[in-house]
Amino acid sequence: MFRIKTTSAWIALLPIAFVGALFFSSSRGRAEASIAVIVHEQVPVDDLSLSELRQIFLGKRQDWSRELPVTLLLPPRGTPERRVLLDKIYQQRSEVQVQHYWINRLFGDEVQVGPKVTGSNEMSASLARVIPGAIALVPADRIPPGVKVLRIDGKKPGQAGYPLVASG
Amino acid sequence: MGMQRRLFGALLAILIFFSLNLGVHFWGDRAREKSLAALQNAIERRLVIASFEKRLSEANREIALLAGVLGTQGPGPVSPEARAAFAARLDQLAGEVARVRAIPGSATPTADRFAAKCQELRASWLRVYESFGVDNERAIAELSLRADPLSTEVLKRLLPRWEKEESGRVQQASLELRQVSELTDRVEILFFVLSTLVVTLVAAGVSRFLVGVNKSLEERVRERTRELEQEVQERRRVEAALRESEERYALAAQGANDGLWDWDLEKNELYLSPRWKEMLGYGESELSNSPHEWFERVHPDDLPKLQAALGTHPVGCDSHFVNEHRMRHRDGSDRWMLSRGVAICEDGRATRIAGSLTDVTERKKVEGQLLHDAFHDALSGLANRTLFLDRLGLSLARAKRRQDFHFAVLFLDLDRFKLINDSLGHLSGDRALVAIAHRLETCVRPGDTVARLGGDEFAVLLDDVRSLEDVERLTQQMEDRLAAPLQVDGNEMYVSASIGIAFGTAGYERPEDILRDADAAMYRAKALGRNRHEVFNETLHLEAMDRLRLETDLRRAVQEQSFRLQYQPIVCLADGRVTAFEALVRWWHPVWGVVPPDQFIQVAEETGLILPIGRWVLSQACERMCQWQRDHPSDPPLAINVNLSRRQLLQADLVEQIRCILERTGLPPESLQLEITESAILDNPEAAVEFLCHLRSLAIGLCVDDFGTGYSSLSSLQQFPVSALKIDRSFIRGMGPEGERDEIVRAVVGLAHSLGMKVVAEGVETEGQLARLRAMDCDYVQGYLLCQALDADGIERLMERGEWWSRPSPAAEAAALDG
Repeated sequence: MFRIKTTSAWIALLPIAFVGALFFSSSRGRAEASIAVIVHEQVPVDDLSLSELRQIFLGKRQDWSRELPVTLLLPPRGTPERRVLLDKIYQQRSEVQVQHYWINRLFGDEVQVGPKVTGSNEMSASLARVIPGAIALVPADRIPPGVKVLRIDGKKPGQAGYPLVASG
Repeated sequence: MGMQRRLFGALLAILIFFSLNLGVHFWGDRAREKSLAALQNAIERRLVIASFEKRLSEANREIALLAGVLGTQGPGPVSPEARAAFAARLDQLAGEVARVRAIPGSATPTADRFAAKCQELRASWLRVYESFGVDNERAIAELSLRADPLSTEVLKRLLPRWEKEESGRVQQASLELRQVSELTDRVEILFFVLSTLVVTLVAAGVSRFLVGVNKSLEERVRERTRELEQEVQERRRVEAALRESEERYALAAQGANDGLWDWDLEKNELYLSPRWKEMLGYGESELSNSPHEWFERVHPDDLPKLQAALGTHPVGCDSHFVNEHRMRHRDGSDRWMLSRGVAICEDGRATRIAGSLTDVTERKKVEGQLLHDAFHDALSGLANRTLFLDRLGLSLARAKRRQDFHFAVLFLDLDRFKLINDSLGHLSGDRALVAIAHRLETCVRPGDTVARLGGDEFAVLLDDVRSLEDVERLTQQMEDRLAAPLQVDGNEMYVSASIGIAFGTAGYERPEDILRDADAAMYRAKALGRNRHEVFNETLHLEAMDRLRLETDLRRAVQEQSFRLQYQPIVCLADGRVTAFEALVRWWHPVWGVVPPDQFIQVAEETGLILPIGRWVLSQACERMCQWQRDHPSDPPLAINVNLSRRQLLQADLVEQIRCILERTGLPPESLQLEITESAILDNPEAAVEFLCHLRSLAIGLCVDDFGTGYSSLSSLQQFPVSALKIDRSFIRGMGPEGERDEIVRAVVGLAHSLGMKVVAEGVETEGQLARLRAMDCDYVQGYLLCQALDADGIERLMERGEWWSRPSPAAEAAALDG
C-alpha cells in the first residue's frame, strides 16, 4: 500500500516539474530578450541611432521621405515592449507623462496624426506589414516575415550592445 | 404769353435734369449694392471656411486621441451615442460645405474637390469609429491608410488653398466695390454739376426777366421806403432825444436825491414823487394829491414865506422859485428843505408849477455849527470877542435910542492864573477855565452876555441896568462866587479875578472903546493889588487917553525912526579905564522933547513895538561901537552893552537877528554884551537856557540887569551861562555910612565872584558909593558920578579929549568912605 502511494505521488509530480522547468527556462530567456524595431518594407531606412529613434517616437520626425509619412504603432500597455518604449526610448517617462505629451502636441497643432496603440505584438507586426511608413516594437524572437528590422546604433537585436533590451 | 412759355420751358428743363439726376442716383445705388453683396458673400464664405478648419481639426484630434493617445484597451465598440454624435457633427459640416458651395460663384474646383474629399474622410472616420473595440486592427489600418492621409490633404492642402482663393475673391470684391463707388460718384457729381448749372442759368434768366418786369414797381417801393425810413429815423431821433432827456432828468433827480413835485394850478392837484414822500417818512400811497399835504407839514414860522414865494412866483413866470423851509417829518422832527421850481405860463398866467425838494438839514446843521463856532469860544462855549462886541454894539445903539437905557461891561482877568497852568498843566488849566465860565454864567441874568476874550480874560455885558450900584452889587456877587474853592482833577484851587467896570453911556461911539475902558479899569484893579474891581472913571479916562495918544505917537516914531541912542560909560574900578558903554534909547518927541525910557518902554512892550525898536537899537549900537573900535583902538577893545526886553526874548529868530547884525556891522561878538533882566530870564527858564547858550556859543557876553529887583537868588542864576551881574541902582543908592545895603551888595559881589561872574554897579552917584564898591572889590561901576549918558557925539568928544574919570587918591577915598 505504501509503495503504491509513493509511485503514484512521483507520477503525479512529473507534470508539475515539467511546467516548472518550462517556466524557469522561459523566465531566463525573457529577462534578456531584445526588442526589435520593425518597419514597413517600403521605409527607406535600415539603421537608426537611438537618438533618431527617439525623435521618431516623439513625433518630431514625421516623414520617412517626402511621400511617406511615419505611422507610429505603439505596443499595448503592460507589455515588455511598452516598458522598453517608456524606459529606453521615452527615457524613464510614465504612462501619464507620455499621454499628456501627445495631447499637448495634438492640441498645439504640432502634429496632424497621432500614434496608434495596438492590441498586441501580433497586431503590431501585422499592421507594420500592411501600413506603409509604419514602425513598431516587437520581441526580437517574434519578428514576422514581410517587415524590415532596423539596426539601432548599428546593432541588430540580440547583438552585444543592442540598446533595446527588456530588463527584469 | 411769351412770359408763360419761358417759364414753362424753364420748369421743363429743371424737371428733366432733376429726373436725370434721380436716375443716375438709382443706377449708382444698384451698382454699389451689387458689388457690396458680392463682397458680403465673399466675406461670409471666408468666415465659414475658416470655421471648417476648426471643426475638422477637432474631429481629427478626437479620432487621434481615441486611436492612439488614450487607446481603446477595453473590449467592445465605442458607444453608439458617441458615434452618432460624431456622425452628426460630420453631417452638419457636410451640410455647411454644401451650403457654401451653393452660394453663387462658390462652386470652384477647389471647393468641389474639398467637398469630395470631405465625404471620403467622413466615411473613413465613421468606419474607424465603427471598428474601434470590434476590430482595432482594422480601425487602425483604416485610420492610417485612409483617414490620416485624407485629413492631411483636407486640412493641410485643400482647405488652405480654398481659404486663399476665397481671400482673393474678397479682395477682388472689395476692389470692385471701390471702383464702382468711384465711378458712380463721378457720374453723380457730373450730373449734379450739370443740373446746378442749368438751374442756375434758368434761374438767372428768370431773375433777369422778373427784374425787368418789376423795375418800375421796385422804384416806387424804394421811393416809398426811403420816405418811410426818413420818417422812422426822425421818429427815432425824437424818441431818443425824449428818452435821453427823461433819463437825464431821472438820473439828475436820482443823483441829487431830490423829491419832485408838480402842481397843476388849474386843477389844484399836486403830484408828489415817491422820493418826495419818502423824504418825509411816508410811503407812496400814504399822501393824497392835495396841496395841503405839503403846506400843513411846513413849519408855521416858515409857511408865510413859502406861500408868499409861491403866490408871487407865477407873476413873473420866467423866474425860478427858491425857498428854504422846515417841514415836519413823520417821526416828529423838523427837516430843512430846499424847494426849487419853475412856473409854466399860458397867456401870461401860470398854469403849473413844478420843481424839486432837497433835504438840506445836514447843510443847515453845518451852517449852524459854523455860525456858532464863528461867534463862540471853542473851549468854554461862551460868546467870543466878536459876538460880545456885536451885542455890545446893539446895547450901545439901544442906549443911544433910549436915554433911560444903561448897560455895563465887566472885564475880568484871573489873578495869577499862569500858576495853575504851570503847576497843574494846561489841561487842568483849561478845565478850570471851563468851570469858571460856568460859574460866571450862573451869576448873570437872562439876557446878559458872558464872553471869553482869550486866555484867562472874560467879559460880561450887563444889559439894562439902572445904576452903577446895581452893577457893583452884581460884580460883588460874581467875586463871591469865584472865591469859592474849585475842584479840578482832584485838586482844590482858589481863583480870584481883577475886574474892571465900564458903565455904558450914549457917549461912546464904538463898542471897542467901552471894552478898552473896562480893560483899563481892570489894570487899575490889578495894580491896586488884584482880587478886586475898579470902576472906570474920568481919571482913568484921561490916563487911557494919554496912553492911547502915547501908543499912537510911538507907532509914528517907529515909522519915522524918531529914536536916538545915548551911551553911558562902564568903568573898570581896578584901573579906571572905560571898558564898555551901555546903549540907552531915547525918544525925541516932536512936542514933548526927550521922553525917558520908563515912560514908553512899558507901552512899547505891551504893544509889541519894542521889537522894531530893539532891532534898531541893537543895530545902531553895534554899528557905532564898531566905528569907535576903529577910531579908538584899545586892548582889550571897547565893548557895547545892549538891553534885551522880555518880549524880544520870545522871538524865535532872535539869535539869527543878532548874528546878522553882527555880520553886517562887523562888530566882533565878544564886543557885544546883552543885558537881560532876571525876571525876563526866569519867566521862561527852559527857553532862556537854550537861547542864552546859543548866544554864548557865539561868544556874546550876557549880563543880568537890575539884579536884586526880582525874586531870584544867585544860585538860581547859576544854571544860566551869565558872565556878569549888574546890581540894581536901588541897592547902590542905599549904601552909605549907615551901611543899610552895604552887606547885601558885599554878599552879592562875593557870591558872584565865587560863581565866576563879574559885577557891575549901576547908579553910582557919590564918591562914598564908589569907595565902598571898590572896598567890596566890585569890578565895574556906572553912574552919573563917572559920566552921564551922552549921545555919540558927546562920547566921541570926550574920547578925543581924554576927559575920563580918573582914579581918586587914597586920602580922598578914605574921606569919601567916612562921608
